[in-house]
Amino acid sequence: MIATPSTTVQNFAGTVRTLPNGLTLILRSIPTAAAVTCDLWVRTGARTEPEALAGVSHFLEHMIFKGTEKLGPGVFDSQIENRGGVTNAATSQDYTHYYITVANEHFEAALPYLVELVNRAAIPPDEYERERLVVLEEIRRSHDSPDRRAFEILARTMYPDHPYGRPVLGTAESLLAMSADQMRAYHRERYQPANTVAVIVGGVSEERMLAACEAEFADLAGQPIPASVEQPPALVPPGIHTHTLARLEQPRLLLAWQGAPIADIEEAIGLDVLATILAEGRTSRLVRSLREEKGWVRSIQAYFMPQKQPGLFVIAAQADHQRLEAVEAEVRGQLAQLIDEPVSDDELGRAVRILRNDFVFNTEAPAQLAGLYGYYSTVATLETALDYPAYLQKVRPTDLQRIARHYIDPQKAVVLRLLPESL
Amino acid sequence: MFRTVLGNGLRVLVLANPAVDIVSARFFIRSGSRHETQPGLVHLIASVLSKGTQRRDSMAIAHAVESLGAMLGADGSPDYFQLSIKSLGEDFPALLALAAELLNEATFPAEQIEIERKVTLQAIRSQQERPFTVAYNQFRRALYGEHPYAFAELGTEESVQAIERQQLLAFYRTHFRPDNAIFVCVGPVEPEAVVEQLEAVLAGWKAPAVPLPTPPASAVLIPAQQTVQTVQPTQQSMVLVGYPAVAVGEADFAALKLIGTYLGNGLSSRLFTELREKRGLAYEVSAFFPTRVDRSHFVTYIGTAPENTRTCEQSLRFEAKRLTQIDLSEEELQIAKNKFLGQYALGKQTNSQVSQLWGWYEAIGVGADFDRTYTEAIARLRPEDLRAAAERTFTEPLVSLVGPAEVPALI
Repeated sequence: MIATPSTTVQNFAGTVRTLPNGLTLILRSIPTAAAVTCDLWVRTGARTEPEALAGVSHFLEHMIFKGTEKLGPGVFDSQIENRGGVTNAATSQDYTHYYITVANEHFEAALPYLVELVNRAAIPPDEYERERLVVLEEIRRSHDSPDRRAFEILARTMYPDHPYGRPVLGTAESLLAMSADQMRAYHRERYQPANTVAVIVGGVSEERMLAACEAEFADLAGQPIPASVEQPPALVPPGIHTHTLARLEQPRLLLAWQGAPIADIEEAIGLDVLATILAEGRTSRLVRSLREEKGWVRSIQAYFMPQKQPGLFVIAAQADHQRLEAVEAEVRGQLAQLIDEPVSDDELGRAVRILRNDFVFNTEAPAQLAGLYGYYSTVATLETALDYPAYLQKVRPTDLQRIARHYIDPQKAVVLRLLPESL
Repeated sequence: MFRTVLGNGLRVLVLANPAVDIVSARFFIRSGSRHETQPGLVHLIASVLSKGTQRRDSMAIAHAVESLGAMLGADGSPDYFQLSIKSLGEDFPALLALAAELLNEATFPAEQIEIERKVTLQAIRSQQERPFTVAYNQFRRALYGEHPYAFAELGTEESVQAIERQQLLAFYRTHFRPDNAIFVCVGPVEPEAVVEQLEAVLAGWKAPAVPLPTPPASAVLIPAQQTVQTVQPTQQSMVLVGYPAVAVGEADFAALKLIGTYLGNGLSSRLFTELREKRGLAYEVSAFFPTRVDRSHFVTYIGTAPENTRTCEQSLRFEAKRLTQIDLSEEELQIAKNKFLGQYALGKQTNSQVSQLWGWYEAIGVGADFDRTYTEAIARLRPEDLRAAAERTFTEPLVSLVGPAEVPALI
């Protein structure tokens, strides 16, 4: 047994432990669940890459599935799926995570495969060459999606001198330039226990979870993690950028601002509330005005995308070309009003209730909870996730005015107009 | 599971699950776009259903839902229509009353129809932006000819332009009747209390004296081998290779579902390992076999570099054909069953997933018990069952291509 004291986390119905090698364990037993999710989060992503290796985190995620010295290519997938489980992974700017969900009785059999796979990747040269073709196809596929292209252009515009501005997939050039040796070095450097959070949620007891985790994670050797880019992104001057996109049928209008980093949770939640007031549901300000009353947009959305460093607040509309200016003017007007006048208690109550219930609705299955705990533990703290509903209840109309003025001032908007090539 | 039929003919299924404070409930109408006279009619009904009743206008309805932080959605599908609600336990009675009002008293205001018509037309144009959707729409058009399954649920620009309010009302009055509907509810509820609430809020919902609408004629599929192609300046080619396939409940249904798992489900599936892992031809490669009341289709597809189009088409044809020539080993079969049954069980983790599955099975005529008999049928399958189903299905494919012009035409 490893005598790591449990870290006390208020409001958490589970256990948090840090192993001597630095790995964080978050365990939560849900006796009524029929399945269990194991989700390994590594604090590495496009943000932690040197520019010459742009795309290495995502390509490495693919190569991890090619196995280890002990597990040949495809063995992991078949071991999990033959047991009726599901597995997958995702790479973002701030993290890469790998997860499996299996019926409770397969938990002890499945976990060792995941740990072996993620920590002891072999990255065989011939598999490396072949899988690069797959990633190149993934890039081609993303180029065929106007929405992905739109987001790529937006990121590049909003973070011109910061890794957040680069596509997570990398580029064909960067992928062709990098070697398997460079990837192995990157893996050794970044996939360290102290850089990893392991989350287990589901229908097995905490005793079983802990025993399995100690057996699998304890002997992972750790070394110090190199510092990654922590330089915050520079602010982008307001302005209007127009681009044409091949095969676009429906022009897009995007207004964007850099928001708060996720660690500033009260500001981040304020931005969530503002996004809800603006564009969640038919009675929200922008949907009501632009879609339901004027009929100028096919859709309008507002969302805050939190990140470790300042995330993005985006208002995105699809409208006919001749309407784009009028839509933009209406959005600016609504934003100015949010800054000038406090929202009513009724409107705030509606937004808080929508967000609070969404939070409940998104924590029904073990995989959802594991994702929530893992995400916040990776880019902020577990407490941030647990306290989300309480913070939400504390939001006041004056907070929203201040946050709106600070982050989403219409005068400071960066505007993107995406038009079909024919225009 | 609690099951009853109300006096008005509405079938009711309730599962009490005290584990979470989330109630998911759905009304299913056993008529979908398969029953529509004009493509896009049912989709437009779904868009306008929640935009006016005899008692409330669009904003009042939206406010009632959003102020509870709840969800209410209407969706048309090929074989059914559903009105779904989801809320915390305490808000369920209010939301149920609203859903009942929509089913019984929707008014389809003319100005709301015009807004949703316009939005639908924009959505139809936007479909052209997604190569998979273009390829699948083109596949369905070629396979189904005159049958309503030929069209995407949104309809076509011409058909949506032409829909009249009178048609929406006629479909609503004809098909939205309690003896053509099913109610499913899963959450921290007492079944008897749910039935009482239903009887109270649906007191005015009566089946008309006329008989239920007759089901539409069965699909006549286009059997001849052919290739349909749309040229678009995409970076990838989308290659669909598909076959006409059986309806739900027919003899080969379970076998084809298991073949779908074997070929296309997950990172260890045959298509994924052969075409992506071993040959690096694609990021996305898969197979699907939709569950349909009328004749369905089995599709394999891949997105690949334009120069690999021909190779990929031949490989997809080969992998289906191969199953008509070999028997899976007992081990391969067992692995496919484990994967199917395990993942099927994982698909029932939330109240919404359970209410969706059971209501859907009731709506398409196989009954909620299909949840059990279907998985039992899968477990019983033998290698020769799969081979026989493959022989009957994978004869001549219909190929649908979307990609740049330089792709050689394939015959």
